[in-house]
Amino acid sequence: MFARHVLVSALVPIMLFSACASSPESQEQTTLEVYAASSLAMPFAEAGVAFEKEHPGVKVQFNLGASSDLARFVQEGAPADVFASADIANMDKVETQDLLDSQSVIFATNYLEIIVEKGNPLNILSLEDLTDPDLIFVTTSPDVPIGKYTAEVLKKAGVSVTPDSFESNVKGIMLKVASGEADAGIVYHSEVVASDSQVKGVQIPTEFNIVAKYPIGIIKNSANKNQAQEFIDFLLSPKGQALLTQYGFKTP
Amino acid sequence: MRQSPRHRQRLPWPILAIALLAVAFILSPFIGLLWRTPWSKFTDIVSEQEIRDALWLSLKTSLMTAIVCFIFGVPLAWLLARVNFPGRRFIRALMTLSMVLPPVVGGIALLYTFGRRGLIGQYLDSWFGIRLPFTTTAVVMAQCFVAMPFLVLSVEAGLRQLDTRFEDVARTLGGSRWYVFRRVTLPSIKPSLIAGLVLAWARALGEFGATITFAGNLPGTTQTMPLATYAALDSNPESALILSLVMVAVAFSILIVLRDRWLGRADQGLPL
Amino acid sequence: MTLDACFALTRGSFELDVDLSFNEGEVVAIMGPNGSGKSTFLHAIAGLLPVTSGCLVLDNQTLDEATSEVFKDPTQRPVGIVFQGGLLFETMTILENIIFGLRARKIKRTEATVQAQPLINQFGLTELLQRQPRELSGGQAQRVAIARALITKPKVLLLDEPMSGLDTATRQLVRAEFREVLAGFAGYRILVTHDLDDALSMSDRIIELDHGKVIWDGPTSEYRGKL
Repeated sequence: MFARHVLVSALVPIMLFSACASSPESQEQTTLEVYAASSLAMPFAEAGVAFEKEHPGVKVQFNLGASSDLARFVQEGAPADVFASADIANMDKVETQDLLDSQSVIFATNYLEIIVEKGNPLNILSLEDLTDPDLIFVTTSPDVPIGKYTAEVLKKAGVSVTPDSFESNVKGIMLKVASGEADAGIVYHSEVVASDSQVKGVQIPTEFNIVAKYPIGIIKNSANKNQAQEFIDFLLSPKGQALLTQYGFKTP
Repeated sequence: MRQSPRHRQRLPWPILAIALLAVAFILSPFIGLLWRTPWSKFTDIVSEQEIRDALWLSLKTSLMTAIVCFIFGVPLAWLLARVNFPGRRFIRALMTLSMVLPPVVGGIALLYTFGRRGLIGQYLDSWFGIRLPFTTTAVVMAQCFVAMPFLVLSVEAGLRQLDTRFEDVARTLGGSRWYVFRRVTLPSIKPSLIAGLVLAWARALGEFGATITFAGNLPGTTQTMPLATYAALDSNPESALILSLVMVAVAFSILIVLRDRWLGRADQGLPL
Repeated sequence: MTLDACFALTRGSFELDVDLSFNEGEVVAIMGPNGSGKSTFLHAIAGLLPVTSGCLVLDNQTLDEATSEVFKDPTQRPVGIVFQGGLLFETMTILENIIFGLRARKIKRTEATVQAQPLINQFGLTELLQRQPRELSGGQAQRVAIARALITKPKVLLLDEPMSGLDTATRQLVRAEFREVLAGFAGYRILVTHDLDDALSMSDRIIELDHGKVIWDGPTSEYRGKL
């Protein structure tokens, strides 16, 4: 019992010390803080690894979440170097407040797809099928890009759907549908690709679909603007673009 | 009462200073909240449908939770305090675990147990057609999961402090177990019972992580005040402020009312 | 008719082993140092503890029998106890304390209050009825405790260290009262005490316990002679 107390008491200062010790940049390591929309999780993870290999001395750290949450963090002064949003509206929030170093660029696009449980047991084939009141349909709140895009698509198709829950971000929708809790949702095509066939995608006709544009920008207060630019350049390079398309994104 | 000479000594200032810092730390966010509140728009925002929905839902579900916690928690507390059954330590540890667990983890656990494809949920669905996620019932379940330990542990502590000889006397006078419990035990533990109920209710009112993960987030059905506040943060920060203030006011006023009426003497050595 | 206590009761490492018989004509004092088993004995008679072996029979009715697993719980035994310090229910008034036994039998309040009058008068408790237990002196509390125990007309009256916590002057008064009460009670009377004076002044027969065994059992006059 006593030994355990000693161990724990010793661990706490050690952990605190190493936490403090890791934030200021040593001469050899730079940490790049990239705030990115949740839908970019998988491609960015791989991009990070590839980038670190090409740029020894730079470590890429990702903070993923709903673009609306991330925009708010940046507005409140979070120590981000790069911000990659899933829509232009949330990048605008940051840009209009003069928080970007230079103008943002579109580095990828996406489009929407209906997702249902593997095997499509309820036989959902179109947006119309989502209007069934007994169907459990989930989306996100309209501030989160996917929520806004979904509303746009449904409006274009002239279809009215009542959601049963507003999740926090696109991953929340994926979780609910993949686990069988929700019957259907609308997410990015890239999510369907990344899901590794845990869910089934149902196509939305192009005339109703939207193009989601992903802008990326360097934060004005960043201390690592050079590395940030290099990261963006990497994403725009053929290698980076190939990585993104591999995960279901499209070139801008 | 004559003041003893000790009271006349000056208060030790280091302790006073540290205590004041602690008070300042807890107090300042509330002041910050009051300072940023758009008072001119207060009535407009408060009367918005979504806010009224959230407020009503929160009150409804948290009261329901308090009742459920009472009905199930008191017998469990009694068992833990009075009966030496195998696994008693384990159950008590479980209660403590539930209290320190991050609520989101609780929500995930609930989802995978009572969700449509969950361990128990799948049978609820296939046998009874009961689907829990996305319902108000799920909100109460999530709240109970996080709040019940507070009530159980508070009541258990109260029961342990109780002299069991009173119950012995009552039994010899002819009181059935239930009669003795109702007329002797419960009244004697009133302070810890009330304290436990208030703690559980307050915890339920503030519940966020488990609710949003298990019950979902839909205005009117599952969007309680904390969820509504979080949702408003991005789209409508002023609403978020007002909601926060309303929550503080509701909690504060109920605690004041309860304190005067029921908790009476502060010298009973309870958290409230 | 007798009360036969022929049993052994094991509690952890302690064993109470007795073979005693009581009759209604005598007031018995059970003496012994702390831990000798006096309280355990009372608890067994009251039904608060089950015997481990042997039996407990009151007026030919088995209250507790280990092998056949006959056990009458406290509510089914006509036993009244006055505990150390009275142990009045603190959240109730004196009146509610007194009529508790009747209310537990589902007798309505007004009816119960009427039934309690003789006892209230006997012990002079009329002024105290609406008070709270914590407002009473030690002596007053003991009187209420007796009234409370007697209201259910028990056949066995047990007193557990009835004088404990009382100062010398009060003890004298209360002792006199108890003697009267005991004299007027038609049933089995057993009192447990570690105080010699109490035992000598209030009982006809003394039983001495030590480490759970009976080491002396005989008339009080003989015990006095022994000292």
